[in-house]
Amino acid sequence: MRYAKRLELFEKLKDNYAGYLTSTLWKLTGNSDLFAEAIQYAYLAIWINLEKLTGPQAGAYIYRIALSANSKVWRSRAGKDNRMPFTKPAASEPVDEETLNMVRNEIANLPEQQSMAVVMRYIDQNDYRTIAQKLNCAEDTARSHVSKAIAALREKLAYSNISES
Amino acid sequence: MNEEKLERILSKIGQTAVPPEAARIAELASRRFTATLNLPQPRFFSPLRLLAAAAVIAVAFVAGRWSIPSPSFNTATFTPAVSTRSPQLKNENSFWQQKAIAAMQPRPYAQSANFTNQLNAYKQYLKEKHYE
Repeated sequence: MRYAKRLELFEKLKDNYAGYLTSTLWKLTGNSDLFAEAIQYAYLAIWINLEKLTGPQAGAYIYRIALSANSKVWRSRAGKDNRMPFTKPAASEPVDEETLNMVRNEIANLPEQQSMAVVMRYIDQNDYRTIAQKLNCAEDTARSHVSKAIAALREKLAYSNISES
Repeated sequence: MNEEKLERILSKIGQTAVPPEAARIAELASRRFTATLNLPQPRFFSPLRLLAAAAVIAVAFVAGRWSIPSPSFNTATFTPAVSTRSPQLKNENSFWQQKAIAAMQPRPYAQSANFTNQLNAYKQYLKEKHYE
């Protein structure tokens, strides 16, 4: 594909998906620094995979791009033991902001299918039929991905210092 | 952490309001990325490069070996190729012929030696060996 045509296609895709990417990445990062990095990663991934984003599976690819950008930024911030150097929330912030960040970090570390499924279910509030269509699998498989993701998140967060209250 | 609480947290993440700051950051990132993409891409076969390559080839052609006049044939310095093999090899005094002639010559040892001398030499040898 010629460069000028690629550029034109990129602009079109960016206009189409900028809103979605902004919303999803902000929810998954919850932080302007991480968000700025993640959106850059996402644009770069769109530019690299431009050909794939013209097909019928474009929506699924955008999900994948958003989640891999999110995983990259969380991984880059995590320490050697894959734990974020969380700071105590300021008095003005909601009390459980740290918990939210821990959950976001663990979502970024989930396997791709589970991560996509849990984001579609809880962040984008999609029903299982829509999730199955986007993941190109059966509805039961989508349910399985979500429940596995929840189980994995519970297991991982059990070791953290999140109180049960 | 129980499942309900986790689901509540996930829902809360999902309901997080996107501030106008996020849209501004996204817009800025988008503009920067597009600006980078719009930078003039260096072409491999640009006219300037082609011109430079042609100039280099032309200079090499003029200054190189093809510009030197071909050396004239000088009979004074000409030395014909000489075979390293001696022409005498094919004559009657060739190596193998000399060998054949030498083989036909009577051998001094064969004439002087007889059985008694050989036996005496052998006895002496045995004696020397015995004392060792």
